[in-house]
Amino acid sequence: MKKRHFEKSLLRGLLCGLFWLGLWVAAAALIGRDVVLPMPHKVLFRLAELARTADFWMACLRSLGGVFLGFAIGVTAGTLAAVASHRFSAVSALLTPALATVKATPVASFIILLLFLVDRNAVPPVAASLMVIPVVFSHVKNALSSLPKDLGEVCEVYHFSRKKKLRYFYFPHVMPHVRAACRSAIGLSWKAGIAAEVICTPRGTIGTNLYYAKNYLATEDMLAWTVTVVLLSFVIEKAVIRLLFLHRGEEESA
Amino acid sequence: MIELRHIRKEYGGKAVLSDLSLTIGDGEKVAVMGRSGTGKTTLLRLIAGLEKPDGGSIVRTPEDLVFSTVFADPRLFPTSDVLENVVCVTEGKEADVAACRELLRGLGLAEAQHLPVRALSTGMAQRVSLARALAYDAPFFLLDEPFRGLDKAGKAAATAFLKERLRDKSAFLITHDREETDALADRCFVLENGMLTPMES
Repeated sequence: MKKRHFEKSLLRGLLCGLFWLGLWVAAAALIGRDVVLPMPHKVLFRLAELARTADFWMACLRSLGGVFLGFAIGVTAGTLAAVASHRFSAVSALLTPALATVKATPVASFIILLLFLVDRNAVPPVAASLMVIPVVFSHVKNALSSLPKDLGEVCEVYHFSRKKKLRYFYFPHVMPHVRAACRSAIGLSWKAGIAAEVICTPRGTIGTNLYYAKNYLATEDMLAWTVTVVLLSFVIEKAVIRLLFLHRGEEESA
Repeated sequence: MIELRHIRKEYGGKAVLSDLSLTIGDGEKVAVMGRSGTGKTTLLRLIAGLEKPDGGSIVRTPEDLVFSTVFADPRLFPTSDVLENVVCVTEGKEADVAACRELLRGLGLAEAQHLPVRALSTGMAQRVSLARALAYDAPFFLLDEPFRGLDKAGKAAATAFLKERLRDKSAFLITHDREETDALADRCFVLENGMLTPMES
């Protein structure tokens, strides 16, 4: 039954993929100019060529490293901000509107502003972290404001130490919210990190390669790097979900 | 020992407990019966210090008296297994774990030690909650329907086990079952209209 379902969804996925690929081929044939829209096979060949160079993999690693660093900083800062906000109403009054503003501000505005404030190599991680902080903040804050009162009373009557409270009361309740936040935020931070690279052009990153490909009208290169971004986005999202969920034996529903 | 003096407790302007006085001495077991909503659980929560009275006073001797509490609902930590839910109130040393296993065995849960709590029936979960209270081993037990959800045989076995464990302890028991009060309590009261009325044994 499960196998049949898998085969069915695989077939459906293949058909959808073929549809969009067909659309791409049709559009490229209609336009007839590689500089505007090259055929998919040309992009794939170019991607294969790039993948044979060490620079390609170094660029992927640098971009991934920067975004993961920003993501980790964002998760930590968002969680700490939510805890402080839960604990002190003055902090909540200060942070809640500020982070709502961060959430609503276009990422490009932040990137340009950051370019004036920090080193260009530091912009992608900072931009990635700014995408994560408001998401984690709101999830963790909501979790803390909905702590189960009945279990809190158990901790109280049995005089749990702070360590025990964290282990049995806070973590089990808050962690699912942190996981959900990470799941929503990882894609956002990856896109923000790459956008920051395109604007700030730190040396040897995916975004910088994208920027130069655009400048030199190397559309095949640009699309090859874009495909790389999409593939890596898929890979890191799956990796983060696996890290966050599967080690606990939970079903991955994504 | 605990002494409740002229306790008054209101919810939304309506008195649930009014001028209620009760003393539970060291080693004494007191049961309270009564219809639902008469304030039995409120009384237990006042004793536990989870709520403050609107009038009167509660004197605990010693002042830092601690309680082993069984709530009317099991209140287990959902991500821990059965054994961990019991061990969590101890220091977690090897001897503590062994003692907790022994308690679970005594309450008929030897096979359930490593089950996740979501897999437990109401009766099993309530017995885990009881095992946790026994593992804490405070001098004073607060028991709000500790045998809820148990069948007759299970209840009889658990009652006998608890009676043995409570031998030198003080206890405040809430129940709807006369057999439980007869087996466990030295004194029994009915709570009605915010007042306690002694029941004959």
